[in-house]
Order: sequence, then structure tokens, then C-alpha cells
Amino acid sequence: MDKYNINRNRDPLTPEDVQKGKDFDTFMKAYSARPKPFWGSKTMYMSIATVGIIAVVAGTWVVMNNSESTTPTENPKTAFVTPPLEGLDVKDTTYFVDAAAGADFIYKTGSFIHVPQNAFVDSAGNPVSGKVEIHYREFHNTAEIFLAGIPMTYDSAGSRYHFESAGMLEITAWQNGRPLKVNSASQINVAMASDTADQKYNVYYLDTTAKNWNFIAKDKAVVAGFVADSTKTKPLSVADVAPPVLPSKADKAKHSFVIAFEPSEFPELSVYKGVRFQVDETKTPYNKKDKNIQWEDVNIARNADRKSYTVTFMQGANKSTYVTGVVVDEANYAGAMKVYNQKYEEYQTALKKKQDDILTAMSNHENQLMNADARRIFVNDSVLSMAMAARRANVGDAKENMVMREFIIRNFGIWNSDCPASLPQGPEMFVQFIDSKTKKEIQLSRVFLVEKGKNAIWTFYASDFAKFRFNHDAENLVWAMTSDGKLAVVSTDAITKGLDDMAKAKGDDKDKKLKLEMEVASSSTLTGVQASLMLGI
Amino acid sequence: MTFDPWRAYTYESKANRAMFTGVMSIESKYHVTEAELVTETAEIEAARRDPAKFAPLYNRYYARLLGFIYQRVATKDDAYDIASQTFIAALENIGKYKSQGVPFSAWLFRIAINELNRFYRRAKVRQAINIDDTQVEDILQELGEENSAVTDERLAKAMQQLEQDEMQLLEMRFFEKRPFKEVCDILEISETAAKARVYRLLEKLKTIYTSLV
Repeated sequence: MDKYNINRNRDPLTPEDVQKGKDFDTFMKAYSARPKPFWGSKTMYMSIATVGIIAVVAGTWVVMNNSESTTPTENPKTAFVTPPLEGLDVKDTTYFVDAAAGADFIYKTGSFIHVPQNAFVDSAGNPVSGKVEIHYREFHNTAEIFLAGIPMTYDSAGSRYHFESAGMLEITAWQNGRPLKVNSASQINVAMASDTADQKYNVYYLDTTAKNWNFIAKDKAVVAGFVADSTKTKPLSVADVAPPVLPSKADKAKHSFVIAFEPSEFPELSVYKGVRFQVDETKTPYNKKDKNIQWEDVNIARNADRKSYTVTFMQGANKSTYVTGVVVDEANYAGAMKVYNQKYEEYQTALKKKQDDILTAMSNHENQLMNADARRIFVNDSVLSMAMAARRANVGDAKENMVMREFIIRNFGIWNSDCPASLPQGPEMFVQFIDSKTKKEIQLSRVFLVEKGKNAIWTFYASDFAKFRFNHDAENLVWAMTSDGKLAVVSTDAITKGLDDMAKAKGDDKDKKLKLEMEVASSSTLTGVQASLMLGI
Repeated sequence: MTFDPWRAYTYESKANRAMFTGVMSIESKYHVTEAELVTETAEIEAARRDPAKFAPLYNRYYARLLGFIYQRVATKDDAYDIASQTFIAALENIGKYKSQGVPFSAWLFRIAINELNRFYRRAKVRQAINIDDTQVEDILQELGEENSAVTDERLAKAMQQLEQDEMQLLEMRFFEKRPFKEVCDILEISETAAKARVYRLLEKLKTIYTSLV
């Protein structure tokens, strides 16, 4: 039987057809008359008793039938690289290049992508001409790697290794919706900006067909920067010129804090009177209990958007974090706007001057020198200056040099600067994962152990849970995805508590189990802020 | 480096773009201008507080949404009903809408797809595919085939073997000619993933088509 009802050459909708259905008043009547949601209704409360009875019966059945339940297995159809949470995968940046001419690009982290002339061939190996799209993205920390769903285990000679990364990149090229291949006679070079200068890493390519990483070569970290020179001035960057912060009028219906901050740390706020930090409840819901806590310290961090601030209250190990916007009280609002307008004009002038200065500096190649390694990667000072400006603006790295790792792109896909990391040292334990709310065991197919300060993810499969181990002297986290697609996390504190409970438990040590309580997300859909708060990175 | 959940969504500031002009090409991630996004965000905020303020969004997107739905059903009456249901669902859930750079239209189309699927199930009707001769010719060209009565019929048979998500992609990308960015926004997938899926879809369609020769 046909699946689809295929119609040919039907007349399209006319403007009259559209007007016939478009009636906002009628729509609002339908909206008002719609059945109200079940949740919170009287029907819901009346139904609870009935459902409760059914649940007891059904629950008994489930327990009885799951007495020999096996660990859930992963869907065999799942792709090798599968982002675990919708909408939180690292997005790629698209660049366009004329295939015959080639081009150079600077990614937001400062990485430099050199596309030579005639770098692409089609699936049949024929040279490609015309406009080509390049999709590029990078992964620099465990959260990004986890959210991208990139496997961090490496099988070699029958043994499984775990990876510690100095940075990864994904590069693909497309024309008219079709993937292209690399022309082996004209390969693309990427100098990826890395967060570490350690020389212990190797270059690997992810073979998604064989589902394994292929060792390519020994990696070499190269420091690209300007030669120390007393006559040298700091590389110019438009990022040095910050726009003023536009304050909003305080909303009395919203929660806000008055915090005494150091004016030199936040000069952009010190120009206003009556500054308050108003909680952005769309990102961080306000917790009423916080009001009654005598906080010992508070930390204010400027966010990358230069508009919002993350405020963290602290009392011992107790922390409460809010994403806030800057507001001023009503009495000071008019004055604040006057100051803002004046500062904005000054900013425009300063920005224009800075851009002019940069253009001047760019045209003068003799005013700065690069060291030998940098010269090999970057064509000239101007390009290095731009790469550093991009890094400063987007990553917040204010160093005077950049660590670069070179990749010769032989195939499009995911490339990795990694080194195999042995499992953390520590006693082997039998681990069980418990839902912190229901106190019931969660059946997981695998968990990811993350040690703060190390850019590694150790994967433990269910069969490894009897020999789970981690460095007890480090701050650890455990991340996992439940069988219904929810993020579940064991915090550092929960690990400490699990160890304490285990030590207090009676019986032989060999029979004891480490029970780790997991916070399970209430939904399989999370915002970026919710995910980052849960992941604890 | 600390994890910045917004980093993936931010793009180079205007200032940086100005600086890089002539050196690199940066594609805008949006279908609408920043000014339009700001206006739309204000309209969404207003509708959250007062549903009666939903009018500008309703009026702006009604025609596009109706067209999107009509493409996928057999009759105009069905299209009107589903469009109305889609707007009701959108207004009910507008508090959950988070821009993150995705235009409101993409969010509406996502809701429309859910409403359409519900309609197919409830009404027990087959999904309607509305296609004209030019679109058939385009697809045949993609498959490297000439247009004729024989190839035309064979293509229709091959299309019947596509899964619903594959047909969705075929419709958006080839029948409606939507840019990849919009397809990604609607389906909540990365551009690379969308392109890979389209590539696989064409390969599959070609394989089925060839098997029917």
C-alpha cells in the first residue's frame, strides 16, 4: 500500500485563500475556548487516586518482571557520533571559498585554516571548481566533547584506551549539497589554537566507518607569537574597545541584588548610580530560600555577551548562581541613560580610531616580527594579530602568544590532538547509580568519568561497573544519559558522600558497593545554562 | 578554559566583522536581520504577558504557515484547521520559546510538523505530497535521469518507499527549496548533519529508483 498521497500540479493557494483563513479575532476565540491543559485541573486531582491504585498494581508487575532485568543496551542504529542532548551540539561555522583560488580563514578561537588552490575533488575524484562551502567547528573541553557525542575511547591491538585531548576539530566541504573529498595533491592545512603546549599528544583521525580513531602522526605544539621586543607594542585589537553596558529600568516584580563591587574591576558599571543585578529567570530561576541565607562571599563574572553577569553567592561549600542583567532603580534611570548615550558616542569614536589604527598597523609589515615557528604558520604579522584578536574576543585568552597544532587534512571529518590516558589510579569498587529523588537504582549502559583539571573522558560500560575506579584525591564528576534520554550527573559532593557512606557501612569491604546518587534532569530537553550547571564544568 | 554554553551560539561581533572584511567570509547565521530579531523578540515577550498581543506574529506568519501546511495535506479546509491548531499550540507554549538565534518561523514550522503528524494519525489519512512537473524534473535531474512518462512514474514509485523523515527532508530541500540553514533550524540538527542526511537520502532514492528499472 502506498504511504503517500501524491498530487500533481495542484493550484497553489491564492491571496484570497490566505485571507479567508486569516482572522485573528476568530483565532483568539478558538484559543480562549480550547480545552485547558490537564495538569493542575480538577480532573487531574480526581484522577490521581485512580492512577495511584493502578500504579501499585502495575508497579508490582514491573518489579516482578524485571527481577532478572538486563542492563539496557544502546540502539544499534545509533550513529557513531551522536550528540546526547538536542540543540546543545557545538554549532559549526560556514566559510565559502572559490575552489580554484583557495582562501585563508580565521576561526573564532584563533585557529588558522589554509585552503590551497584546487583543494577539492568530487566523489568520483574529479577536480571541483566554483563555490564550495566549508563547515568547521572545534571542541576544546570535556563538556563540548560530551555534548557533541564524540567517542573518547580508542581500540588498538585488542586493548581499549581513553583519550585526553588537546583539542579537536571537524571540517567538511560541500557543493550543491554533496560532500566533497580532499584533493590529495593540494591538502588543506589547519593550525588549530590549543589550550595546552604539552608535547605528549598525537594526531588521530576518526574513521566513522570502522568506528575507531586512526593514529596519523606525532603532534607538535608550536608557539606562535610576536618576538619579545622593547619597541614592540601590544597587538592591536578592536576587542580592547568595549561598548558601554545598556542598563534597563529595574523591574519591581523581578528579583534583583545590590552588590558593592570594585569600580576598577567593573568600570562599565561604575559609571551608573543605583546599579542592581536583576535575575534573568529564563536562564536561572530564583530560589526563595537564598534570601534567608547569610552569604559569606559573592563573585561577579562578566559574561561573554558583555550584557549579562553571572553572580555567585557563597557560604562555605554552599553556592548559588544567577545569570543577571544590569538594571538601575527608577530614580537613577534617566541619569543612567544620559551617561550611556554619552559613553556610547565615546565608544563609537574609540572603535573607529582603533579600526583605523589596526588597518595602519596591518599595512606596515615591518613594525612587528614573528618568531620562526609563527612565521611558518602565519603568512604575516597582520594575520597573526587577527588570529590573536579573535581568540581574545571569543575565548577570553589574553596571552601574548598562541599554542598552535598543525593538521594536514587528508580526509574531511573529525581530527584530534590526543594522547591515550590510562585509567585514574584508585581502588576498584563495585558501583551502583541511584536516582537522588526516587532513591532507586538507575540502569545505565555506560557512564563517563571526568576529572576536573584533565581534558579527558573515561568511559565505563555496565560490564565495568564492578571495577569502577577514580582518583580519590581529585575532583571527579560522572555524567551519563538515562535510557529515556535524560542527562544524569553525579556531583563531586555526591561522590564524597558515596565514599563516606561506603566507609560507614557494615560488613566486609569486598562486599561493599559504592552507591552514587545522580541528579537526573527533569526533561530530556535542556537549555545551555541548565546543561552547564548540571555538568558542573 | 571554562565551558561557556553560549559560545556555540555566539558569532563574531559587528566590530570583528568589520575588522575581518575583505579577509574572510562570514555567513550570517540568521534569515532575518538583527533589527528584525530584536523587534520579534519584543513581540514574543509581549505575547507571553498578554495573548492578545500575539496579533503581529500571527499576521506576519499566517500565510507562510498556511502554505507550509497546505503543501502537506489534501484540502484547504484541513490546512486551515491545522494552521489554527498550530497557532494555538504556539501561543500556549510561547513561554517555552527560546530564540538562541533560531527564527520564530522555524519554531512555528516545528510545531506545525507535530500537528500534521497528529492529524495523519487521528484522521488515518496518508500524508499528502504536492508536487509539480518542474519539481519532478529537478529531482530526476538530481538522479541523473531524463524526464519522461516512464521515469516520472518510476520516481513516484521510488518516493513511496521513503521514510517519513526522509520525505520531510525531500519536501523542504527540493520541493520547497528551503536553504539548508532553515532546514536545520526546523529539524534542530546541525548543517553538516542536514547535508549528510540529504546526501544519504539522494543516494537511497537513486538506489530504489535504479532497482525499479
